[in-house]
Amino acid sequence: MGIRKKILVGFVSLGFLLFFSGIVSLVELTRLGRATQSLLETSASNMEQAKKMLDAVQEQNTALLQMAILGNKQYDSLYLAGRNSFDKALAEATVTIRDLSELDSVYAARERYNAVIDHHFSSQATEDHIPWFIDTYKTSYYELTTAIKNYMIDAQSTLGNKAARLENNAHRATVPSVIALGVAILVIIIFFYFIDLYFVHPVTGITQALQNYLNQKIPFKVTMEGKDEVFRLKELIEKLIMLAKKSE
Amino acid sequence: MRFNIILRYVGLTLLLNAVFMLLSAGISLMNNVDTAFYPLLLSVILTTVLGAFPLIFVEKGEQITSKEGYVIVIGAWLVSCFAGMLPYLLWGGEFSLANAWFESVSGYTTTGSTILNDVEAVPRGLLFWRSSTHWLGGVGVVMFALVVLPSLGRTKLTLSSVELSPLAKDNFRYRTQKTYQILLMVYVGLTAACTVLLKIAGMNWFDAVNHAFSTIATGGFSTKNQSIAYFDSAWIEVILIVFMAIAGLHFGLIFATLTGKKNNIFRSEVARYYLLSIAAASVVIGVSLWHSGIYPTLVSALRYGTFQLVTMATTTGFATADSTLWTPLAIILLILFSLQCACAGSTAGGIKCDRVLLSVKVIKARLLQQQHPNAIIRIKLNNIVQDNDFVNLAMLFIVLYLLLLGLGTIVVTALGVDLMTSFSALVASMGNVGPGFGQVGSMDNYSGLPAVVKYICTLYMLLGRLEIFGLIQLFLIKWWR
Repeated sequence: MGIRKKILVGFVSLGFLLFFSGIVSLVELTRLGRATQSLLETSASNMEQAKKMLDAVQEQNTALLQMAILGNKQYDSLYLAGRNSFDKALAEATVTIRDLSELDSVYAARERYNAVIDHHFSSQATEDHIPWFIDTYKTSYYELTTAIKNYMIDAQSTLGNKAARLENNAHRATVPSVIALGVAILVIIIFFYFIDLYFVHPVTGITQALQNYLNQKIPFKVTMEGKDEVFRLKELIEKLIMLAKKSE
Repeated sequence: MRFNIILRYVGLTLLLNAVFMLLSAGISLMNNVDTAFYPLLLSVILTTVLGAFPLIFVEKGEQITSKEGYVIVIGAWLVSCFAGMLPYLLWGGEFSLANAWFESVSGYTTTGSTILNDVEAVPRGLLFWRSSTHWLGGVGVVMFALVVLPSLGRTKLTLSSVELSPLAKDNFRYRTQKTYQILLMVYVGLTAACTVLLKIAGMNWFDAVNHAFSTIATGGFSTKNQSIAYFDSAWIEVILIVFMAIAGLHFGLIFATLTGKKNNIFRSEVARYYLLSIAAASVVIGVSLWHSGIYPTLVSALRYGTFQLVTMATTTGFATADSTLWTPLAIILLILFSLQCACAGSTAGGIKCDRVLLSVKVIKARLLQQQHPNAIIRIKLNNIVQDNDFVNLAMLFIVLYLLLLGLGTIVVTALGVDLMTSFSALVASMGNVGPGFGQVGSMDNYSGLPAVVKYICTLYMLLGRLEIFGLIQLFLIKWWR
């Protein structure tokens, strides 16, 4: 390989090294950005769904309270609207959540809550509304709201763990550049060593030997490795000296 | 000393590493571009650039001196360890700088101790790379490169004098190139056979290949947190016991036995001692575990006892049980076998059976000399009379080995690690065994040790792998004649 190609390959290798490490950093940063965005979106969506569920339970609670105190059946539609809103919010959460087991306790509490209400109103015991509301209903209400709050807390803690894992992505985005720079410095040192050994040193050797020959007639003798342009230059100089000697 | 020549050959070794990194990246790619893909790909590029760079300038066909050959071998080991930690460092997770270095050195030196608390969380590509470092280290990075390289001429002999244990070379009756070919053939053949048998026994292909790499290299990295205990299969354990025991034998002897040559395992005094000592100690440990009630039946005690003993005596370091909970007799036997290790000419580290047997003969000869002062007593090993210099060197090696262990234990204990952990960790590191006792037991790992202790352990791994003098001489190379 000629000098020009060797130097070209050297610089291209260095350039490629830095370029590729940059690309890897870019890919990892993009991944990090996407993961962060997805994390924030999931967090917001979890909060929103939990809020909807709590609002819907609250609506049902208000309607049932009115029905219990006033014995007014007109609040029945408000209760049903709240129940529908709750089911809708729960269905949305079921679609978006990755680990369905997180919603298990909410489902179970919802079933018990609905069963308590359905059982009471189907039994036609209208005069026992208030004791039922205080003794039986309130327990299932607190159970359901606690399950929703726990779901919210669990979802946020899971997101916290995912956020901790994002630290790894940040590591993967920054470390390649640092390591590639380290390797590039190493390659530069080796490159410099080779340029000095194979090009600079032979050229200075030839110059010195030629100077010695011209000034003091010391025989032109240079030992060098490789068979590149510098080596051919040395051979040509030797031929030239031979020709000059012959012509003398 | 010509650094350009050294750089060329060390570069070739790096290229060999890059090939295995590329294979690992391929596995990442097949696993839906898992998180190890980009770290592995970047490592391939960095290693290839570093390895190929000297090839552009330094032309092939240069004859190398013994001094240069020596630096090439040691340089190749060290540079491979540095290049090997790149995928870990780039991937992150549990791999800090100290941890990545530890895992890489542990891989190449076939030690098999890990800093990973959750091995199963590591992507497949990186797990394959981890096992590949064992496989590459086992065959000897440089030795492997030499078989691949066609242009070396006389230089092979120079390199082999450092790469092979001096004891191992005596058993070879071939030219150096032939020796390398034999080693490689046996190595690849055993790996393939072990992989197929593990697959038949119930592992999937990925686990079978990784565990075969670890077994034949006498490494010990597993793809499971519970190591071999995860599989809970007597067949897998039997296959591994057989292959670990074979991998601890002299590879030339294995080849000779397979090809029906006279100089085979059954005629070798060292191989006989190695196999019989393992069998006897397995029975003692089994009975001890059964007698103390750790295992309800003698069969189960023998099963776990034999596996744990073979894995430590061959310097592999897998685990099927937590041996830190075993009887003091079992623990002391396991430590003694971690010091002795397997035969010279295998991928195992440690003092080696050859030297232990030689030291017994030296003691016997000394006693006989005292009884008969005028007698000329020759020490024979495998029916070959051993040169005095050679015997002295072997004895010096044992003394130095134990001295270094003592010194290291004092230093590590001074750094706040308990005595059992520090001693067994250094025994396991220097013998390239892997698990020790205390904090670094067979079901634990090295993650809890301070970073400085991890660096000390890696130094001991390299000392053990390069037969102590190999590494020490590097610092004295200036005064070589």
